[in-house]
Amino acid sequence: MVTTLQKLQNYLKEIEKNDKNGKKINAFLELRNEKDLIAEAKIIDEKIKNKTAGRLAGKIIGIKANINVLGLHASCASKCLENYKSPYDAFVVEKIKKQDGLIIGMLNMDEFASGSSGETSAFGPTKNPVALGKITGGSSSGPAAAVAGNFCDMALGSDTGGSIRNPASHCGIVGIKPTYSVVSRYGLIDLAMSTDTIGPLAKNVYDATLLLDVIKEKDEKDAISQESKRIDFKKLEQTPKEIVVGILDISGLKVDERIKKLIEEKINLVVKKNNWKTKKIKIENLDLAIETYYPIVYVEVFSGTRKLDGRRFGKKIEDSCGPEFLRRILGGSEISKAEHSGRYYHLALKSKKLIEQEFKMAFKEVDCIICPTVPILPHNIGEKISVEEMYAYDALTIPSSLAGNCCISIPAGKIQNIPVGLQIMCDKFQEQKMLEIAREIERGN
Amino acid sequence: MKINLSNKCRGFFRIKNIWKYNLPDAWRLFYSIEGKDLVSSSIVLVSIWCCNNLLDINPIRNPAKSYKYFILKFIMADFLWHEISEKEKQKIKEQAREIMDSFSKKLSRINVSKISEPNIERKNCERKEGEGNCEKIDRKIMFENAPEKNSDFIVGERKVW
Repeated sequence: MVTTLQKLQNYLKEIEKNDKNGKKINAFLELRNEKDLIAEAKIIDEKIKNKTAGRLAGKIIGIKANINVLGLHASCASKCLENYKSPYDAFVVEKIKKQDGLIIGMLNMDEFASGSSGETSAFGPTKNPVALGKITGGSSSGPAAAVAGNFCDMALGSDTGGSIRNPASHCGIVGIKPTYSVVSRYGLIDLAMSTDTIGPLAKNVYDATLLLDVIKEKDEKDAISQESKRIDFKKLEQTPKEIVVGILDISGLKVDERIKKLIEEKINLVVKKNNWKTKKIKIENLDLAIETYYPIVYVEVFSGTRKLDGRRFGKKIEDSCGPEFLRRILGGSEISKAEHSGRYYHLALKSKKLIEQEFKMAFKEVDCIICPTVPILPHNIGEKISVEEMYAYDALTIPSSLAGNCCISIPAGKIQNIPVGLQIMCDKFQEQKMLEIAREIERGN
Repeated sequence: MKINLSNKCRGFFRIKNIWKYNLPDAWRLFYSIEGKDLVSSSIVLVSIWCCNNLLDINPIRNPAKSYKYFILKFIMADFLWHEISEKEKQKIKEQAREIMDSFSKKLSRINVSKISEPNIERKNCERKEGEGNCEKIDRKIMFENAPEKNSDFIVGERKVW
């Protein structure tokens, strides 16, 4: 059996070989001191030997650089917080440490999680280890690349409009966005608190589920935090019965025909094998998702960044951030003016509520809704792409973020050697059912 | 620095070699040497990463990404991180406003009067008191993070009082 120490040393070798050298993936912003890591791995191995180890013992975990880990830099991949060292552990990090997960370092991301490609990091874009030259997707670019590039077992990311699912899809791994409020955001440097969630990325559904189950718990320090049921891992290995699969009508959106076909084939396969039923689902205002999401994000980014004034930490944000994050700050500042009351933010919140209601109705008819995770294939790093095109990457992940549902992206196959993800959405707090369906589809892969 | 070109690249660009010279800031001069002549190809503002990856292009397989195109695309890319000038700040501000206006226009089709308020009412919304633990926050690191501080307090206002 491979020990934690051996596993760690293998990962460190791979990181040395391909993160800053070789393939130059650029997934890590900070790697912990090797001596400390080795000492910690030895302690974990001792605990495993004595049968006193936690549930994550033996797992090497990377953390997105917008989640506080005591003593490490939570820079949010921004020059603004370049030297900001976390003075405390986020709730989710406390949970991981308590269960003997070994945190290896901090991972690259889009600056302050503002991006869908992994290109907006002030410390350089992250390369897709599975399709070199292509974007990883974002904003959890580092976590996805680190898992796909075999630099760690699993990683923690954050998902506001698709930031876990989108890179998981492009990198051919599993990413979960839990139900809004199930995982505490205490210690997460926020993007937009109305939809911010923390979730796992891993090589398979089982590992992602394990990490999710460890981090989800009610926490008094996050005002929206709620209790949820523990995952039944025995059930995860059984095929769920009498499932009605909702197939999302995406005819109104620009979706690559090849991706559409691949996902349809995948659904047909699993439905036929398990004798499940299918039903077409139409979310009337699906085409409003992007237009609803961004005004909310712009205003909440502006509000959330007022603390970054260069007094308590870092530099003043407006003087140190890149173009995409600045667009959000300046846009948010403009549309949140009193004279525009009701025209942007409040209107978007109303639209969010409408989309939430439409999903609620849909889940009365079906157990889950399936669609592609990302509607198009990833572009080349640095390729010119308009703001609208970039925002459209999240056209299929934003709706469930607005509705607050749980969803998962799992690998569905490849097109031109580029991974394509399949998204399964379930009603709020239905993680168990969602993961059982995902596991069944994964078994068929 | 000399950039090695493949035979296919040489044929496509009709140049025998390509050299890169780092100018101040992020400017780069690309040129080729033909006999005794130095032929300037372009002076571009690109990231070092872009220069290092110039060799990844295969112009035969994908002519649209020939090196001049490739460089142009890098310069015009909106999403790679770069420092922003005051002029660009203004442009970004205008662009953000335009995007928000177009989004707002599309959202105006929904009937807001029929949608309930978006706030959430919780049955039990009171938090338990007295369970917070300030000791979990490392005071030393917190002070290290502050750009201006005195022995035991962070300077909040600069040159204001």
